[in-house]
Amino acid sequence: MGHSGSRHKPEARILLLGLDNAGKSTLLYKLKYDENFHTVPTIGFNVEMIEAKKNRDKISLTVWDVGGQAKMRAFWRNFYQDTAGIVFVVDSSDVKRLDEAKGVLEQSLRSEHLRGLPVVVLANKQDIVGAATVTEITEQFNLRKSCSDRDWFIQPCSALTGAGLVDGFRRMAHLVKMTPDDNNIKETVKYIRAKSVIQKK
Amino acid sequence: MRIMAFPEGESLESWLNKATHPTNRQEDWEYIIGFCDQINKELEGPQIAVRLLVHKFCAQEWEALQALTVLEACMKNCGRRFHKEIARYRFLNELIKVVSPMYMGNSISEKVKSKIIEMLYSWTVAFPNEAKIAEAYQTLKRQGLVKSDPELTVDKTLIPSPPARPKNPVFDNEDMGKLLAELLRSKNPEDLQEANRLIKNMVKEDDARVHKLTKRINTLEEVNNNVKLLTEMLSQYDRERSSDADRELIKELYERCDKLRRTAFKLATEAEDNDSSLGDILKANDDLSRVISCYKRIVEGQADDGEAEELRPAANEACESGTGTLIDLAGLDEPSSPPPPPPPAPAPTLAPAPAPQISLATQKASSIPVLPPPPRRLAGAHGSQTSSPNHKAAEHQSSLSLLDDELLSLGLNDPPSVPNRPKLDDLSAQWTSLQAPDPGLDLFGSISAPSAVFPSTHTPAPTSHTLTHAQGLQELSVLDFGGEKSVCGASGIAGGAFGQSAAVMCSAAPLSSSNPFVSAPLSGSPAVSRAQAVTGGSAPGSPFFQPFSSPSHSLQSSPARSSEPSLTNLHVPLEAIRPSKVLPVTMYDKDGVRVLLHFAMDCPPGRPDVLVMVVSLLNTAPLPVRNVVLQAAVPKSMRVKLQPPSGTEICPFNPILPPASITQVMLLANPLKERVRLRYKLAYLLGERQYSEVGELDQFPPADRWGSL
Repeated sequence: MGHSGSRHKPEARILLLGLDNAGKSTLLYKLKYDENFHTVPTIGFNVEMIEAKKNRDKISLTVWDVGGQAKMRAFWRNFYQDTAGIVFVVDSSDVKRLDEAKGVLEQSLRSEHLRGLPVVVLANKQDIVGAATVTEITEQFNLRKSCSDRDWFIQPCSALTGAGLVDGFRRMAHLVKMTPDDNNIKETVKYIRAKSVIQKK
Repeated sequence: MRIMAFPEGESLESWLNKATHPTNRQEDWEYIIGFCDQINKELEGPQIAVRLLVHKFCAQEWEALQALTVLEACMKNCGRRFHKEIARYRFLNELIKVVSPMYMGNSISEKVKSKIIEMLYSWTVAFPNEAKIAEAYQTLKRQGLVKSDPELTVDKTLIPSPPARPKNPVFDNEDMGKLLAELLRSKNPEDLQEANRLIKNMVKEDDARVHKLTKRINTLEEVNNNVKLLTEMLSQYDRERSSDADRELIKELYERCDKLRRTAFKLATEAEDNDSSLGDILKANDDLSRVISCYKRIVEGQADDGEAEELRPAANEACESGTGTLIDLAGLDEPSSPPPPPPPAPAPTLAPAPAPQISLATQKASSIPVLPPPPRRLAGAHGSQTSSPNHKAAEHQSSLSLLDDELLSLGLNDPPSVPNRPKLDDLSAQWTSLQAPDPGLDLFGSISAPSAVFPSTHTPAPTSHTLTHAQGLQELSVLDFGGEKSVCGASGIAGGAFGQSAAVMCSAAPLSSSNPFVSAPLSGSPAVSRAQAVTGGSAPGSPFFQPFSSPSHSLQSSPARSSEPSLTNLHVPLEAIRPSKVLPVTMYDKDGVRVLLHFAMDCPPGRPDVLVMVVSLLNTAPLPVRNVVLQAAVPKSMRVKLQPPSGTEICPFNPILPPASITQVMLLANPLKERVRLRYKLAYLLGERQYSEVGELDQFPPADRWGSL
């Protein structure tokens, strides 16, 4: 066996976006703690660090969960800088708002800071009967065209059951370019977690 | 986040305690905004709020910091009323005490003090005109408590917004964006926490802004709806006819508008930083004031005592002076609101009174002329007598005895008996003087005398025309006997004596109706005398006496007497007359003026002794005929009556138009069926010339054929 891990673990900054009620916060904490937390609409943002494997190495993903309400979407641009990848969460069961979600995604991708960055679309709430399939979402979002200048992938998932979550973020880990980072982010994440108000379901 | 209900009626203190509670993990904007709203609701909200806040500044750090955040929010949301309070020495001194080590500065955390200094500085920038704020800040600087002017990046958005701010000022602020981005890139946990807090605060502020905007819009809409509804209700309001439900609704709307006016006032205070919305708010306030004034004039004004009719026009007038819209409505109400004017009252009952008086006066005046003329006629009659002295003396004695009887009856019945005595004297004088004159001259003189009398009879009013006409008939009756006397004179002394007696009786006849026995024998004498004179012209002596003693004649005299008054009451309308086959008789024809006499086919019902005739006067002259008067006389045994004519004027002859005419009905009573002889007098004005004509007719149908002509 070789030495235990390198001192500087590779890190990537992941931006978790999507409409309000798409399931971003629930999804994040399911992934992190494998528990179902009862969440309230996010005002501001949540930050969690998760580990994933990229090829044979372990990497750290700092996931920024930013509120998706209309008034919060005005703040998204302040988070774009230094981002390595975008995870866009869609409520597959809310067929009426798919067009709205598509518009929001396209608008975000037009940002200079996000040019060429990989996108993983999580088609959430697949556990609900009647949810749109990844094929339908791909066609309605016209991902082949809107993401023609970048790597992209769409993953069906369910935040409640946890299905598809690990696979989605593993795919993101494969797509992102890693950047070196110091270890101070861990303390930041712990600090923020201690301040946030989350009730256990 | 905790979601809690906000009960109504919360006090400022309870709001503030919740907003600044030490256990709050972060600023709770629901409570902060609630505190601001409560300040705006209460009349003395700003004064109370400032006092409560000052106490919080000395609390433990987190509570004090939250209080300062609340203070910032109040500066932004509570408008000028709140700004005035923090610009006072009373408040500013408290801030200085918190910062200054001479007071409580040493026991206050640096965070609290630095935040106070930042806020003071930001206020000096936001309110350059508030000298006291600048003075307070400069005081701290001079004491060395402020090293340099603090950065305003973090708190810039908490100062009042500039007028031209974009749609989403909080989110579009570039400085805030840069700050947030830098905080998010930082690896310092405190910076990330600060970034999160900053985002939450900005979202809260935007929520508060949206909430205030929505509230203002809803308030203005409510104002407009209530003003419109109350205005419409007032325009249809009627104090007497409006139902209780309508009154109650109007009162409720009024109270709601009154409450909304206070709300609008608060909005105006808050909206000082937004000119366009301020204009809308002021307009709403004006509308409310106008409709409230209108309500007080129309509804509450009616409660005053006074006549309803007088108040209603005043109320309408008040509405017109209030608004342009009501003028139109008032115009619509005008036709129905004033009651229709009552019809003019009937003339006072006293008005008709003068008419009868005039009539009475006329009647009195018209009755006077009846008496004077007879004496003259008697004088004329006596003047025509001629007879032998001895027979004359004998007749005179007989005449005197008859006159004595007549005078006695007159004395008993009528005051005018006194004038008759002069008549007796005149009779004697005339008798003496007339023995010598020529009979022809006497006859002419007697004819001219009546002519002189007639013109004077025209002077009386038209209403007396009929009576004057009757007078004329009496005159002509006497004249007729005058003529008869001339015939008797030719026949002998006896005729003259009877003529004289008859004349005296005739003048007394109208006044002796109450003594028929006395009058009847006298009236019988002239009848006999007349018949003898007519039939026995060739035998003067014997025929005269023979009829006088005949009993049959005495019997006939009674009916004649009884028929006299009946003709007066007899009236035959022109429409009831049917013309007979007998040709009309021309009475007069001269200078284009023609008078015809037509006979009727029938006699009046029940009067076979009466002949009905129609007199027609035609004008073929080119001049107008005016003042036409016709008078007629017949022998004493008969009676004649002229009914009122259809007119007294005829226009000049016009060949294009049908000829105009005057028609007059004449009735002739002939109970003894004797031969008729009628004398007439016609007076008229042709152009400017006066005519006066006299004539006689005897072409009448035989009396026994009357009734079937």
